[in-house]
Amino acid sequence: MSWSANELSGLVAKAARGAGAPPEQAARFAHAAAVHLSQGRAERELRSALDALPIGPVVDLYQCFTEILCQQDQSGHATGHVPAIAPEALIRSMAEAQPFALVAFGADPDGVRITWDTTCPNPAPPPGRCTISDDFAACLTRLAARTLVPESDASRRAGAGAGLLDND
Amino acid sequence: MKDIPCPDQMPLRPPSEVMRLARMGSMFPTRLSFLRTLMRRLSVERADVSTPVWQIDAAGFGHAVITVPLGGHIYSLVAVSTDLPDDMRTDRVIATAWDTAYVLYDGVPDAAEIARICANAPLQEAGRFTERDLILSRANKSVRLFSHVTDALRQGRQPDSAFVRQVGYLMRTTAVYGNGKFGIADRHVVAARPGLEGPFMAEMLTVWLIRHFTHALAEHIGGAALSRPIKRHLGIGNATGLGMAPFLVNHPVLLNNWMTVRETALARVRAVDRLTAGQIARLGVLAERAARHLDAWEVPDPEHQARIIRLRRDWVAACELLRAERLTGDKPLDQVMEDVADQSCDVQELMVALLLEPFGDLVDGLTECMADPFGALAPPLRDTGILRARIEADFHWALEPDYDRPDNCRQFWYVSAAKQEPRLGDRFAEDGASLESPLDIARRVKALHRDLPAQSQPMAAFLAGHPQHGLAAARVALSQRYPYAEIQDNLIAQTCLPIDMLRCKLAFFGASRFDPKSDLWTRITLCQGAPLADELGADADDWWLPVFAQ
Repeated sequence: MSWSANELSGLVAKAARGAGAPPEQAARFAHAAAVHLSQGRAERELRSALDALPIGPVVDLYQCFTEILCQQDQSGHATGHVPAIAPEALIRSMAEAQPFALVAFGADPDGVRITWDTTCPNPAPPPGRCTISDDFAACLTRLAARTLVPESDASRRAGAGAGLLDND
Repeated sequence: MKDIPCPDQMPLRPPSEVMRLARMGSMFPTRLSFLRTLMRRLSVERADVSTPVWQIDAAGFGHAVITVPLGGHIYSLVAVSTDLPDDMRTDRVIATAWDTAYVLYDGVPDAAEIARICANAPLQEAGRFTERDLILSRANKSVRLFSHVTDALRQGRQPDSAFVRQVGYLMRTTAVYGNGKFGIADRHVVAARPGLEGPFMAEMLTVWLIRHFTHALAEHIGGAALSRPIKRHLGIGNATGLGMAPFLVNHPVLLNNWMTVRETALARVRAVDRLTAGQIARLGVLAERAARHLDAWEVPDPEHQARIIRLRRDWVAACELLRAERLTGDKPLDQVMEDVADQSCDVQELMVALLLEPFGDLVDGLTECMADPFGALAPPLRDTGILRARIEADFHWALEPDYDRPDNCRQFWYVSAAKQEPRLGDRFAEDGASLESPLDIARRVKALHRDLPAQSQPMAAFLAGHPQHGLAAARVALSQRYPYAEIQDNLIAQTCLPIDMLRCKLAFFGASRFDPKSDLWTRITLCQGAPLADELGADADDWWLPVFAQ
């Protein structure tokens, strides 16, 4: 099935939260997931990251990137090392999903070295549509469902602030 | 390249004044509203609306295709009308069937594509869509008015104008989905196209075409044409609940851009040195029109009706400020805003909307800055010392409440398992608070501030020990570049009225006639007074706060 990037990203964000990621880290991972899949990279890397929550690459890469982005030079460039705490393809997707221009990404001992230009918006085209396996879609849906509050009569009657029929 | 000087402007009203819920909940549509921008574009192009497919039976059921060219592309509204039992007609997200369903299609659909859409659109969230489908929507009839209008036309007369004025629309949309939902196209597919660059332009085009369809459907069933004044006054309704409120919290850069444009427009108008006689006369006409609009604005909710009545009274006094003899000095519109500063937010915001209206040359170009093509260009703050200083400078409003007090944290936002309907609960009376949606920005910022170390620490090291503060830290980092990004109120307080957020967003859409059904839910009217398909032209932009023209 063909998914839009925003639909997939929205589902991944909920799934990551459902798996225990804090909301900001979940949102960053979700953007990266859309980039990752639209670039034809392997969904198993996303699955592994979700399986590892509430620890693992989703939170660790967020922290690594924060560290690098805090070290901008006077020209607004931020350069740093990311240890091999996740598959390189996932690190690349996370790096490409930042709102800033990724000006360098290359292997270095025990990881990768990344440079962003924080003064320049990311010039890459937004992620396009992608397909995912039924199994992965089911996994995402199952995790996302953990963020939903079970239905009750009281919630149904009062939670939305509107009645149940509108025949006026 | 031609150098165009930037117009003079007065200082912008500060976020601490503008970004309060009570003021946001007093906003009115302006000429910067998205529908107005779209209608200007359609008018410049004199877009030619046509209906190549009309497969609707005598009872009004079937499908139709309505096409419109815009910016070198053709878009088609595929409309599907079905027979809906009364016991299924609900405007809630939990609905599973609707009177009508719509897709805004990219291009002109062939028979196979029409068949695909006719099979899927009535299913809405349970259907599946493609990248050719730009917008998905549905609308339910205002049963009483739709029946009245079609009955009247069948009997060879026009509908009762008072009834038309009272309701204002034949159908109301209950969702207008864009940006990739359920497989439709991502926004970026059309975001660079002429006419659709601004926020929600494809959605606005859809609702304007839906309005056109509802007119055509009623005329088809009634077997006669509606009079032009009645048709023009029939907008398209909308029923809106909590789904709209989280959008403003979750899109801080977009909110910043909308508010910045609006405030910049006001600052430019306030800087106008002298008014021409024509501008003074125009302001007077608009003030009188606003008064007539308020007089015709009636809602069933007694509390809101009382507020409208107060505004009617106060507006009469405010209009004195717009008398010609008071507008002949220097910077007269700045003086008007100074003079209404002690009036209610309703009066002030209505005045803002009015003052922008005659100055399209000064402000319309700002609408090009209302989208968010880049995302949040705000790197994390370097260390916790800088973070602390920023919080204490820009987020004092978040630090003030004691969130342990029940009245300061009573409400929690959540998404129900029932069709993922957004809802609001009482954390002391209902289950589910552990699954609360992260819209409690103020409480999160205070919790972050509380946990900051006495000695400054690199941000990454701090977040390693406190990953739960990532969201709050990111929001604080936004504040310098995007000063209007945050609603500066406690959104989980017992006193928080989500309807204020709805009104803010809907005013940016161009909605009028806010008709609250509760603190969480409102009906509104879009496109009321907007040009009809055959009225696009030079004078088509003059429909701010429409009044019924007999």
